[in-house]
This record gives sequence, C-alpha cells and structure tokens, in this order.
Amino acid sequence: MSVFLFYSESMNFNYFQELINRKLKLPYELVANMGLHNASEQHITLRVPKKVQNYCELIISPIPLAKRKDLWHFTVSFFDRRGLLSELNLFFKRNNIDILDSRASISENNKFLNVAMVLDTQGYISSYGKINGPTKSSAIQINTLKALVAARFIQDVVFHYASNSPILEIAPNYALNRSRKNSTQHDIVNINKSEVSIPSDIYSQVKQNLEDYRRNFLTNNEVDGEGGTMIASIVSSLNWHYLKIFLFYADTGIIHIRVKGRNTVGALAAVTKIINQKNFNIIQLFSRDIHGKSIAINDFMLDIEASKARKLDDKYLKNFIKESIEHSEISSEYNWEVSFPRKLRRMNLEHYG
Amino acid sequence: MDRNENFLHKTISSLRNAQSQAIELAVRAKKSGKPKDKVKWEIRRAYLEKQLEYFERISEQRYFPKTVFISYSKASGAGLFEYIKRELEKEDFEVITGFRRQPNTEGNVLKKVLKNLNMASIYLGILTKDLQIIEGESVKWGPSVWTMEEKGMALALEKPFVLIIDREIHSDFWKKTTPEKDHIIFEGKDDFYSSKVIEAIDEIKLRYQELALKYLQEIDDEI
Repeated sequence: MSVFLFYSESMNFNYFQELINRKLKLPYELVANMGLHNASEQHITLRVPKKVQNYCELIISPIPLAKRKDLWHFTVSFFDRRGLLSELNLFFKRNNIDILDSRASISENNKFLNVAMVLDTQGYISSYGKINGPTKSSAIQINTLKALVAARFIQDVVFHYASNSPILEIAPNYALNRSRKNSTQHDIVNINKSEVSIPSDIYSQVKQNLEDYRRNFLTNNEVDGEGGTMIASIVSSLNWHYLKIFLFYADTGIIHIRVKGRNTVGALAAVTKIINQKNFNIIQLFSRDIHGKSIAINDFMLDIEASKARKLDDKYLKNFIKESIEHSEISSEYNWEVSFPRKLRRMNLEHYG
Repeated sequence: MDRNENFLHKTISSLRNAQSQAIELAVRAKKSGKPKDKVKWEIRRAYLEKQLEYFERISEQRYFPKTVFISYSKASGAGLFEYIKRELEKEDFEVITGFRRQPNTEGNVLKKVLKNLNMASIYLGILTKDLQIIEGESVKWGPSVWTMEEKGMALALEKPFVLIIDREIHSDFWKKTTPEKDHIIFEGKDDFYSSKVIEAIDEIKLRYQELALKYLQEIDDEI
C-alpha cells in the first residue's frame, strides 16, 4: 500500500525573460491552464534560502496561504455514469473537505471519467481532532480518506489490471505546503493582461540575496557577458497548481543548454553522467522524444558552484560544457549537438517549442 | 472511544460495508453465469480485505505518541527549553522531561528518567555550557552530567534523536557517539532563537515522519 505518490513537477522552462522594473510577462498558455484570470488576485511567495545562493524561487498560485496547511492532490478514474461527479463532490462535502480546483474529463468513448482535484483537508482532519501522526494530516489520516473513497465508490472506481488496486491516489502538495513556512515572504499580486509586478519587499530580498552571491565571486572571477541582468525562468507545475519563477543573474554559474541526439536506451544516462563529471548540478530537466525520428531533445538548466569552475561567466561555461559533451568519447554514438536556445528580449516572450 | 479511534472506526465500518457489497455482487455474478464479473468483484473484495487488515492492525496497536523527550540543564538551558517547548507544542507535540514525575514510578532517579524517555517517540538534547573544564591554559565547556546520562539512555533505547549544541561545547561530548550530520550547532542565544529553533523543529518533524513511515511499512510488510 503506497502512502505517498511520487512527487514530480511538470517542468517546462522554455520561458526566459529579463526582469525590468519588477515586471514579468507570464506566458498566456500557462496563465490559461493555471486559471490565473485577468485582474484576479494571486498569492506570491518567496522562500528565503538558508544560505546565500545564486538563484531564488518565487511561487505564484491562486491558492491562499491559509488553505495550504493540508493541501492534497487527488486523482481517480471511474467507470462513467450519470451523477457520479456530483456524488463525489457530495462525499467531500460530507467529510468537510474543501475542493479548491477540480478537473474532470471522459475518455475512451465515455467509458471512463478521470478526475483530478486539489483538496484542502483541514476540515476533515479537525472533525476528528488531533491525531498522533507525523503531521496534522498524517499518512494514516490520508490513508483513511483514500480507503473511504474506495469503499464509497467500490462499484465505480477502475482497478488497475496488474496491481489489482484502484486507480486512486492522494499526494501531498509539498511545494505549496512548504510555502507557508516561517522563512517565507508573502504578498498578493494582481495579474493584468498576463503581466505581474513583483512586490517591492520581495524583490528587494531577492536582489539582496543574488547580489550578495554575485559580489562574493566577482572579486575572484573575471566576468564577461550580460553582468547584473536579472533573468526569470518561468516553470509551470499544473498538477501542483503553481507557477515557479526562477530568478538568477547572468554570469553566476547558471546556464541553459539543449542537447539533441539519438534516442536509445541509456542516452539520457550517458549525457547526465558527463554533466555530473564536469561538476554541474542539474536543477531542471525537460526531456522529450521526437516521435518517429528516434531523436530526443533534452533541455537542462545547470548550476555550478564558484569553487568548482575556473570561470563562471555564461560564455565560458557554455563553451566548456559544449566541448565536454560533443567531444566526449561516446558522442559519435549518440550524435549529440549542443545548443543554447535562450535569447533574451526585454519583456518579449520567447517560446522555443 | 477517543476521537482517533472514532476516525478509524468509521473507516473500518465503511470498508466492511463495501466488502459485503462486493461479496454480494460476486455471488450474484456467479449465479447469473457471468465469470468475468465475478472476477471483477472478487478483486475488489480482496482489495477491501487488505485495507481492512491494515486499519484493524493500526487500531489494535494504537498510535505511537507524538511526544518529545527534552533533555536540558536547569542551570544553563532553562530559557532555551521553555522557548523550544512552546514552539513544539504549537506543532502539537507533547513535551516531557526527566524532571517530570510520573505516577507509580518507583526506584532510583535514573529509572524514573528511563520510564519518561520510554514514553517519548523522539529525543531532543539541548547541550548548553554547564561545566567549565580547565586544562592548563585552555578552557573547555561540557554539558550537564544529567543531559549526558539521558543522551546515553536515548541511544540505548534507539530513539530517533536530535541534538542542539552550543558551539563552545567540546566535541568529545557528542561527536564520538553520534553522527555529526544529525546536529544543530548554535552560537549564542540570538542565533538559537532566530533560526536554530526552527531548524530543530523541522528535524524533529522529519524524524517523526520517518518513524511513521517505518511503522506503516512494517504493517505493510506483515500484511
């Protein structure tokens, strides 16, 4: 019996832009998917890093902080029948569970109804008082909820043929749960024509953190390139209901590379091994296959510590990793080509699909 | 019946109802000559049975307490203890110490401490400067003797534990018996109150989470 579902983010970090006057333009498709409606209030949080580092993360989500205490992602597949969704909603209501986001669709000629929801279980937990579990919504409590859904809908829920267990999962929304912590700055922002302005308090904190880091290594490193330009990379996490804004300065050890090459078993392992050997840390990865061509495109956001690189500027690091991958012993086996798709434009959205 | 039992009782009762339904539908499918349907309901019955076993086991064994045993020196760490106690209580942990007398405890002080420690799920040691040791010209600091006794007991009882240590405490008092990565070192009271308490509470929650998952895994394995 699994307690927690594997936690992943649907990462797509093809959106880069320069941050000017604290303003960010959010890609329309992400805004639409996330339900960040025009003129709506969104909650923006910054987790202040424990140590000075070369990047900061902002999280934008429509879910208010007060609702993030016991936040869970719920998915289930039913054999479809009339009134099922309404019964599920009623079930949650009776158990004091607040549905914050709900998406449902039918598949395979109306045979299945697939449901994904974001649930706030604070009411469910409190109706039974404090439990002696690891957190307020303990593993045991959430397992009881899962069992209750399975029992209530035993005639409707689809069972997986191999594991003989229901296609029904409840997973914690770690990112939003953690965004409530003490070390977090929080504010409310408005989305205006897909544009958002980062609150000045949060922006100052980000700038201070990044500049402390930059000042640290500028003394020891020669830097060519864009210098003090703050760059924002926007990552969507649709399942987990937030946008992550990843902020960093150019020439501080963070680079984005794209590796295109033959897609065979082990290709991704081979390229990540080289990246690891060259002391880079992968902070984001987006890998996809080009159907019918046996070619894969892998985007990596890489980070290297100042102490592990001879120089930290983007130009040097890009050449260094390009050489390392393209001229590696196994490069001919995979036909690797390394490119750098990021082209910054002021407030212009770049989408490299 | 307390609220936790009520919680499980409701789940167990719903599972039993669903299981009866599945059995009834399997019998009906068999009678009407629908073997495919019979298998479908059999699979559901078996799943519900496993779930029932799981929750009945938890219900029988009760929960492990959300209790932290804090070891500290009354002379040099009372203020720090009071602060961290308050913060832990905000996170719904019950705090007990070696100073608390339990009803029906007999024998010597160590036995009483051992009994209290046994009731807790996690051990937290606050190692503050209590004893000054002068060796020639060098001055070293050591924690209170009682804190060390309690730490030894926690190790022997294999309690998950967290240490929060004043930087000036000599490493011989903790490094040899416990892995360094488990500890939180603080420099002065300001550092303790401003950030180290949060770190310590995060660590305690993590230890408790690990304990819970281990416990659930053990139940899973047995089932």
